[in-house]
Amino acid sequence: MLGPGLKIHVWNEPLSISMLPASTQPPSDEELIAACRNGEAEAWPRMVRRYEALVFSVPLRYRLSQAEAEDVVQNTFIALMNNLPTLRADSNLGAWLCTVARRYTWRVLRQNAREFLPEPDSDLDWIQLAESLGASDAAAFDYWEMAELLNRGLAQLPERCRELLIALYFDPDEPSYADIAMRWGIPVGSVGPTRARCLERLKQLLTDS
Amino acid sequence: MSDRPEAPGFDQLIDWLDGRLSADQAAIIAERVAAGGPDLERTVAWLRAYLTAVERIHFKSSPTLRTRLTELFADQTRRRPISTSIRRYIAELVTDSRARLDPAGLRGMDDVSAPRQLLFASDVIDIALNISATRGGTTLRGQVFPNIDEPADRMLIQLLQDSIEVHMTVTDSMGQFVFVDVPSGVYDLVALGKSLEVQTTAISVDT
Repeated sequence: MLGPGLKIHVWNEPLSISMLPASTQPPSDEELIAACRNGEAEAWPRMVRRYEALVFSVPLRYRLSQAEAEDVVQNTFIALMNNLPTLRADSNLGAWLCTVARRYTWRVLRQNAREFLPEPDSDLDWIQLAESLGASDAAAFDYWEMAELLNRGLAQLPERCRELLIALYFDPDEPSYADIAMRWGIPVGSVGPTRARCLERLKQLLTDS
Repeated sequence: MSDRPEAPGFDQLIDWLDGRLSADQAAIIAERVAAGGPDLERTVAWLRAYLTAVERIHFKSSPTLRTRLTELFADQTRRRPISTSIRRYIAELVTDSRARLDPAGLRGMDDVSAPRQLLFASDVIDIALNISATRGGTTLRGQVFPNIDEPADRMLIQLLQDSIEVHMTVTDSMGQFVFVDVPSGVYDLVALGKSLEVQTTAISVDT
């Protein structure tokens, strides 16, 4: 929902995320696209942070290495940059980015003569999982919608929480508590309690949405 | 005072479900969960669902990459779009069997039962497409014909609606591909070669 102070700017000026009051909801994709088009410095990092994990999920699902996956993610966001002027403001940005990321993923696989086969997922009842996680409309839910749901929740967490949960639960390299503690310069004993606080916050975000 | 044992905390529940507790500790938590109320039940169900989902979904986060992308964006706002190694082409519709009227009146616009045949042409790749109604819905059968030194096999074919993928497949050794059970709508096809992309103009599919 737009903040109350926003309306006066809509007609005469391009939408700016810096116009939003600090207490307002995070900017919508439409607002972020508009702000990126205006070249606002803070809009683009926010856009990348919002969708980075989701875009990573595409090459990782096809078992690309970390370096290959980073190339795919970088090329996908460059495609977004180049398409900002023509992208429809009401685009489903997550799905658009995944569409582009699959193209780059396929190219890497083809260059290396590898098969374009995703990890299997048909044995899971995604609808039931989505309902248990708090999805409001889970009538037809699949792998990608689950990835979007979790990404949406993670994107709303504070930076450190988001990074911690991604490392602990989503990173295919499965770093240990000791690795994570070293990476963030925190005692190993504080990883568990911090993880619990972050996960409880994620639960709250997903079940309240 | 109630005899119900103290409900386990959120962190204990995670450790329990993560398998980080000893057998004795796990047994205590299991007992407390069994004696807990509906709120605890819901929390455990949420955690179980979360742990099941994250086993399949992989994310990563790269601060270095985010910094690089921010620098690229700053460059782009000062200069021109960042070039990529991919060349993009549009394939225009050059033949549509439904738009052609046969002089004898045997085939043409009214003969909607026959497969509709479309041909899209570009400088680099032509794409032939047959659209036919089948019991399960509409089937799109196609074939890519490269006009340049580009192998026809193992091309990625994406069927897009509003620029978003709704189906994808890979061409066989003859450059052929098929999409089944396609609902009515307006689509684009994108064929991806090693260093080029060809996108057709809009394709209207009506069942």
